[in-house]
This record gives sequence, structure tokens and C-alpha cells, in this order.
Amino acid sequence: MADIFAERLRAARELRKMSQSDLAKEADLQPSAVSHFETGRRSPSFANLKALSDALKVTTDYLIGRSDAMNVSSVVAIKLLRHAEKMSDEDLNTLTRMAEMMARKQTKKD
Amino acid sequence: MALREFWQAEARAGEVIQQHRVSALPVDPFAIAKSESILCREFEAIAPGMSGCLMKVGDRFGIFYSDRFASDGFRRFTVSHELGHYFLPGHTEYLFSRGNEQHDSESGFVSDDRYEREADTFAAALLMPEELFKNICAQAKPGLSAVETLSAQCGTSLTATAIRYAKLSDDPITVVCSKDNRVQFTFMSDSLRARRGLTWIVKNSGIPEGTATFRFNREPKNVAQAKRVTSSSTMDAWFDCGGNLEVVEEVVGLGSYGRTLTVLWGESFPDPEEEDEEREENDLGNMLPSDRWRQPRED
Repeated sequence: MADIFAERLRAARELRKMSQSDLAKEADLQPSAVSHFETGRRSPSFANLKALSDALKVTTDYLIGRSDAMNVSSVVAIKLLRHAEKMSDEDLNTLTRMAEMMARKQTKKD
Repeated sequence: MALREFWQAEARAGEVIQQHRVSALPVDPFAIAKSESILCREFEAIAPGMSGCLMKVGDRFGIFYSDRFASDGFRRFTVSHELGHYFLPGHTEYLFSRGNEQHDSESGFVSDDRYEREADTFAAALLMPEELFKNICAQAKPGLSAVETLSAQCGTSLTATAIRYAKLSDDPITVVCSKDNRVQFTFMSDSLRARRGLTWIVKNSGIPEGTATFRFNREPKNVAQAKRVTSSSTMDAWFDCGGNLEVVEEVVGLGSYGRTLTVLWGESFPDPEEEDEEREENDLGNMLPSDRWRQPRED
């Protein structure tokens, strides 16, 4: 993911005709952060990812390579879980419903 | 967890606290999530295994936590833990590092201790910010009493608070969590860890017989009914080469959690020079009167 993210971040920034420091300012990041991301020296957090995608007006899924169009999100929900190995099918179903609810809200927003 | 990652998680929590202008306790992780536009919802869990998750759908993020928690402190810690996954650098890599996840909605279900521990460190530092925590510590009676005061003010469980207390205290503090008289985990304050020759209490080892904790754990209702006892002990009773420094041993049952929390605390250790002087004094005490008389006098 790191390489794709670095490439796409640079491509989207150049398309928006922003300098690294313009983007850092817009995304409320340290001035050097964008340079670190574009050279792959540093990995972003989800919070960074969200701030960068808002500032560049592209989707987070485009930036991380889960979608190839700048304004399209992946339909697949991704989850970070604690103790996922112990999770029951019922709980997985519950969370899938939660993901669908979020997807509906996302569509509404779009 | 490597020290660098530990400090990174601590520092990131500090930044989030600053960004969200948190200046008083308790820290509200739900408010932080809301102001980041992260949806926060309790879900009806069927199985006890799962406590919470961070979910990303398109550009939206959600934190879901199980309704099986009896305590508010546990809920707040879980939400803060998931915020850790959101705010900590590299946790995106953690999610995407498993090959074919792009087309499989379940392949994001991964578990890696390093990232989980980082998120725990973040959660502890978020809910118990060092400066505010230490201010209360300075005014509280040491030991379990401080832990209880801090727990009430921070809105955190006794266990999470006790671990933070041991981490941030300058005094020799040990926190031991036990079940069926076996050590589940233990934390020692820095001043204790720096003590030369002191052996650490090992996970899964037995609670030393003869301690108040050992006697307490032999009666299961003590744990279930959240009873507590206070006793005095010595470092030697718990640690090899611990010396005869007196420590207070405070024990409390954690109710439905089924475990026992022990807080061992004492006054600061004498520094090595003072100890040498003390040893000399003791040596003098063992001498014959005539020998003592022959000792060179400082004046």
C-alpha cells in the first residue's frame, strides 16, 4: 500500500496544483509530513488519510489504491478488530449490517 | 513493544488531547470521535470475544463497541483503543498488509500484538493524560487509594488506572493482577525496574505463599464480592533480592472480571550511597566496643 499511496498522493497534489506545504497547511499537518509521505519514509494514520483526501477532494480509497477513480470509494468495508478470531458469525453479521448502514450514509453524503 | 512505538503512541495521544483542547478530566473519547466525524455505536454482541472495532466504509469511519461491558470504564477504554487505530501512524499498513484484502470484506480482520499494544498505550495516555494524572497523584494518598481516586476522576477501570499509576509514579510501585493465585500480568514503576539485582515477577508464576494476596485468592468470594484487604509485607516476600524494605500490600477483588488486583507500594528506596552508609553503621554495630573506639573519628 505504501508505494501506491506515495504515488497517488503526489499525483493528486500535482493535479490540484498544490505545493507540499500548501497541502500540509490545508490538511493541518506538519510542513514536512507531505514530503515524508510522498517519499514513503512515513506511513499515514487513518486521520492523516482522511485529512489529505478532504484537502485534495479525492476519496481515501483512491489514495490507498482500493479504487482507481479519484472520486469513487470501494464498496467493501474494512475493519480493524480486537480479538477477531473469537468472533461469532452472529457478531460478524451484526457488524456487516453496521457497515451497510455506514455505506447508506456515505451514499447520501455523496 | 519497542520503546519508540510506546513513546510515539504516548506522544500522539498528547497531540490529540491538545488538538481537542482537553484541559480537564474525565477525557471524553465519544466527543473526540464525534468531532472527527467518526460514528460511535454500541452493538448487541452475541459472543463475549469481541470488544470493539474501527470500521472504514468509503470515507466514513465508525467505531462499534460491544454492549457486553458492565463498566463504563471498559467502554471508554475500548472506544479510545479504536481511536488509537485511527490516529496512530502505520495502522493503515497493518490493515492493508495482508495481500488479497481488496476484494474480501473479512480479510481486514487481523490481529497483531504490536498494533494492539500501541492502541492500548494510546488509550491509556488519552484517558489518563500524564500531567493531569500526576497532579492528582501528588495530592492523593499513595497506593490503592490513589488508584481509586484516579480511576473515579479519569473514568477508567481500576486495572487500567493501576497500570498507568505504576508507569508514571516515581515511587517503588508494583501492580499485580492475579487469577487463581497465578500472575496474569504485572507492572513495576521505573524506580523499581532500575533496582539492581531485583528479579521481576514472572507472568504465570504462582503468587508467593504467605502474602495477603495468596490468602485472599484462596477464598473465591473475596474476588466475586470485590472485597479488599490491606497488609504489610516486605520486598523479599515478592522479589528475590528484594531486601527487607517494608511495603504496603493492598488487595482488591475485581468482581465479575474474576481477577484480583494487588498494589505493592513503599517509600522511596534509599539511594546506594545512603545504603552504604547504613551498612557501615550496621557493621559498626557488630563490632566490639574496643574496635569501635579505635575507628578514626571524623572530628
